[in-house]
Amino acid sequence: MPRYEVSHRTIYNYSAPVIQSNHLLHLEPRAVTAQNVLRHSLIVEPAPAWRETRVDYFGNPSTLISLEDEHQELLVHSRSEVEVVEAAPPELMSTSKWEAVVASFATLPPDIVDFVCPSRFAAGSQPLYDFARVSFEPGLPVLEGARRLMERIFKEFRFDNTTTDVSTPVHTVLEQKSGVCQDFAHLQIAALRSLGLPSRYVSGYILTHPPEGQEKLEGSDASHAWVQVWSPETGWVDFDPTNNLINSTEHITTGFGRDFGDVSPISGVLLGGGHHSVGVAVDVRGIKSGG
Amino acid sequence: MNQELLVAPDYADPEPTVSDGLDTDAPQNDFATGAGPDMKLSAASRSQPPAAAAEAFYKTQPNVFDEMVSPDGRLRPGWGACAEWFQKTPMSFQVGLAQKTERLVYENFSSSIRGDRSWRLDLMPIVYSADEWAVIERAAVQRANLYNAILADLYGPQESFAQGLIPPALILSDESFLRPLQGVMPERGHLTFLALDFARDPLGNWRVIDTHTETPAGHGFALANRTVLGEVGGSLFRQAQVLRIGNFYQSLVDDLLSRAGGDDPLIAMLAPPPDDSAFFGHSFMARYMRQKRVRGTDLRVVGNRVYLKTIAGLKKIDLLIRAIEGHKADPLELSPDGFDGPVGLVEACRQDPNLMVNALGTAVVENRGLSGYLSGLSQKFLNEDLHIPDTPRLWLGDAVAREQVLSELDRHIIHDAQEGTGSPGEAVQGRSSVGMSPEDRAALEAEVRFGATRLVAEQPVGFATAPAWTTEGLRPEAYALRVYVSNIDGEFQVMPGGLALSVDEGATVALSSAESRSRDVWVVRRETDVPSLSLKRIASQHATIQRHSKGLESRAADNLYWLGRYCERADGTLRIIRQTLERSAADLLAPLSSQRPIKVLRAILEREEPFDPASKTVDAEAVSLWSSLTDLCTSEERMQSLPATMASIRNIAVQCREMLSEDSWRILSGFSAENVTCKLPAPAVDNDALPGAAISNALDIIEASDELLDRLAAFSGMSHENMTRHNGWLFLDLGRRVERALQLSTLLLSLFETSEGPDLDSDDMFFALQAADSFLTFRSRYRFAPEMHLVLDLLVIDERNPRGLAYQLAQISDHIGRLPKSSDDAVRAPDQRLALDLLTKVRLADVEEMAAVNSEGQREELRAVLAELIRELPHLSELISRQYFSLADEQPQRLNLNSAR
Repeated sequence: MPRYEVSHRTIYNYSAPVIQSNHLLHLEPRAVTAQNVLRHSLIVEPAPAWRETRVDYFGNPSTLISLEDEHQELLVHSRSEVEVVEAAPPELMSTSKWEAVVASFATLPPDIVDFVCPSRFAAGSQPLYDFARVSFEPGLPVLEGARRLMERIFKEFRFDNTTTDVSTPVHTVLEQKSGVCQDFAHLQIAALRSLGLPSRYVSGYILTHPPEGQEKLEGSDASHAWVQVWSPETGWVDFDPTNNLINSTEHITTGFGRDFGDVSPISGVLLGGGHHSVGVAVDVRGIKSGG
Repeated sequence: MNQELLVAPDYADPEPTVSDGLDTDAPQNDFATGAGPDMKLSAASRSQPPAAAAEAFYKTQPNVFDEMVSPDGRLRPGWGACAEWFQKTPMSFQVGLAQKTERLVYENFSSSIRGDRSWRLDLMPIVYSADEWAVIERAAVQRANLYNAILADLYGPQESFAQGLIPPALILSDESFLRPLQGVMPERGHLTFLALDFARDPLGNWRVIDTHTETPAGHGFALANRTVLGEVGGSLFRQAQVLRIGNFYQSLVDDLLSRAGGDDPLIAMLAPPPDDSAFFGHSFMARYMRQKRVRGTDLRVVGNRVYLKTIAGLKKIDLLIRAIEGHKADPLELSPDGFDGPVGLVEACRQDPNLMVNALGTAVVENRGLSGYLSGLSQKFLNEDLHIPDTPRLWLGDAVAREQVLSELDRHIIHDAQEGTGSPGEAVQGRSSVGMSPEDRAALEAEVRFGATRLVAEQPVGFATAPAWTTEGLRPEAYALRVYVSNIDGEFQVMPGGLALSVDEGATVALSSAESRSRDVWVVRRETDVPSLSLKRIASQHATIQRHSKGLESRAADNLYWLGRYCERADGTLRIIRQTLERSAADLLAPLSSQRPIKVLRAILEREEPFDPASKTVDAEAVSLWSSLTDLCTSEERMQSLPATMASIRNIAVQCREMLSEDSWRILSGFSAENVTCKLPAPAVDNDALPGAAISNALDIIEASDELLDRLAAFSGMSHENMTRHNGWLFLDLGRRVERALQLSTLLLSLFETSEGPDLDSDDMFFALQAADSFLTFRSRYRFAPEMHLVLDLLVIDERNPRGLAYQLAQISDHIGRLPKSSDDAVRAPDQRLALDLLTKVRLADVEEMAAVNSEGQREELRAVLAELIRELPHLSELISRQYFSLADEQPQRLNLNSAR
């Protein structure tokens, strides 16, 4: 079973003193069927006045911190060790016809319905429906359709971290055919929801490989996002449109929600602070198992 | 003809009318009232038998239920007194009352905030008999209990999903379902305030057309309507045996105080900023209930508790009345762009679920999609049938309903299932595909397909009517009724009254007619009911004590300080304008008179710029006078101009209205430089002709200035006489003193820095004494023409002259000394030190030296003393604001989310 050590370091620098800041963190990996969490630690400097770890509405571990003394720099350092469980690849072709899943909407339980309903960053529309229907031929098994859609996004869209930011709507991504993993995830989710299919956003990390013959650079990894699609036969299955991968063992899950807004790794609100700059360093390292 | 008509059993007058003022259903000092006619039944008309059937003065629509008259032409119970009044009273008198109503509504509702959407109130109330009202009451209480049960379930075990009573998608696609609040359960349920919109169909069957469970929006409008109509129709109100609503609010306030706990709880209404359309209603309600109204930026969450920022530091809040939308309450865990509440509020509510009423997340049961599911939910949670159902509605998230609606789109009106604030008359009109272009229709169809879970479809079913007043008599109009329910002492109670609005027949189901008139709602009491007291009579025993023991909010202190400054600025500026014109009018034929008063005008106008009076050159007097005056009176950009000052006064008055008496409010909110500016001569007047041509303008402006000065003096007198000397007054007066010291220093420096010889100096000494309102004092002391050292003594050094500099500085020093300081300060705070330093310098100044002129005609010492004041007073103002108001300025900002790759 592959084991990974993840280090996620974020440093904020403010041009003016921050009088108080509150943050909501989704940095701790979530224990799921495909993943055991062996260790997690969180360092915050300066030390917060209080800190509360809770499980959010979607079952993800989350932490609230509040810094109530004046500060001009904030360090949040999350370190985790997880073990990813290898599983047989899902049999996409033997899942229900996608139309049948759509038709079952009224009978689905709330924890599935939640991910069909429109959300802030991923709501259905006619152009997204048209986009999705190219992959979803009539009568196609639902996860096969999801795979074809993922493959199309992977092939037709260009990875470019200069064309979008966190507030770029899915429609812009669809039109300009470029973006980052978060945009591709939102695009696939919104397209699936336009059909009436359940799909959710997964936040986490992925193991990256340096170009052939080169050393991996320290802090060169990043947080990552992909999607899950549901079928009655398989439950939720991972699809990564950025890398064209299904249920890989190189993905580490921190949590899932309707979209990025539910599981953003760090969000915060400041009183004061002026302008800020942020430095992020993520390292995902495979370690020998059984140790 | 008709025995029931006009001789309704409840019509006897219990007591002769003694005093109208005392019987108004609201505290007198909180509301503008006006003398004038009142709705009274004449003794003659009371003793006479009914003369005519209802048809004679009121024609109902055929086959439509009417609230006042039944199909057989008889008056319905309770309407006797009202119908008689409108039938018997001469129309000219009714028109007079309608105008008075309009005026009172204008004085109390209109504000720049609401813009053109003016509120209108019908002279005719809608009357319900006790029996009819009991039907509504029973249904409203049932609804309140039902919604509370649904909320407890949705934020708890969600059994209604599992049991198929609510489709999960209906709730889960509603953005007002606040997931972070899952599991947060207030002891007394989620709801304390709710309102229900009832309407009858044309057959007379009641139905509920909308539900408002988010904020107490609309209470303020109902209260204000009642106050206006109580004032206009006081006697009729009593004769008709109408139930008062004061008790309802008194019990509510008492209950809120006891819920907050402790000996002296701190309660505040958390409301949106003044630019929000709901501001008026919330503000009125907060004032009526005598509770603080605060904004998100007035609060701070520290260690999971909510605090109010005051000039004495943070004070813990015991109970918050929520008047902001739930999803905007905490930018950290709820909508990232909602800054109406303090960051961390959600976690504070998790730690103390009883902290806020209504609890966060209550808007979700407003969802119109619930209509079709309520009867099943009522069976499950209450074991009862629904007393009054919702209007027929289809939730489009249901596939069958959606296909049906799409197949016959023209027959339906499409509405958002969830809709904002619930301010009366602001519901969004539904959309009908009838008459739509093919493109619009396709867009609507697409919206129905892809946003179905957030939409409902309705079919117009029509409304019953009630009489509305017109100058041609009463006329039936479709209407709907808003009823207010509150949890008091653990049980839901219905306010005996409410708010009714005319509705557009057919177009919509919601209360959306902003242009139509609102109505007061009168519930006639049973013989057995004990007449209730108005809120004013049983004035809250908590209110007065509370105001004193609680710290003053930093924002309020900030507002009062600047109110003081702007009022004094207007006062000083007007005095100088007046004095300049008076002299100019008197000196028309004396071209050699001093031109320094014009320099004063310019110095005032340009005060925000680097002050250097010596560099100002003065042109030919007349042109410069009028151009300086025109600049001062019309400039939109200059901070010191009269219009800018007046606008600032009005803005601040709106923000701190609850701290102002009704009289003060009327004075301040009506301030405008218009009266002065409209008297300015046209700029095209030929220069040479100016002094002569402008003489009448000058006199007009002097008169207009006098009037404004009177009103400023009235406000100043009122605040001086009526405000207790606690911190609020200290800040108001501090603002005044700082501004007056600045104005006076500017005046003296501009006039006397350079000597222009004994004659002109003497002229300007008169000018200074008069502008500083100290001429009489001077005359009473000295029986000869002013001399510089005597004038300076009176205007600078004399601490007993309330118009003098030393007096202002002594007061400033005194006030600052009395303001709360952090206790561990052994040394004086910087503001205190600076104030003392300035005062001491003036005290030690030598008038002879200040009056002395050097060889270049300059008064060096005078310049040294005054220039320092002009430089340091703004600095002092800055220190005060840093010490006491800086907490008010913290704008929260959201950190950029760090993007994943």
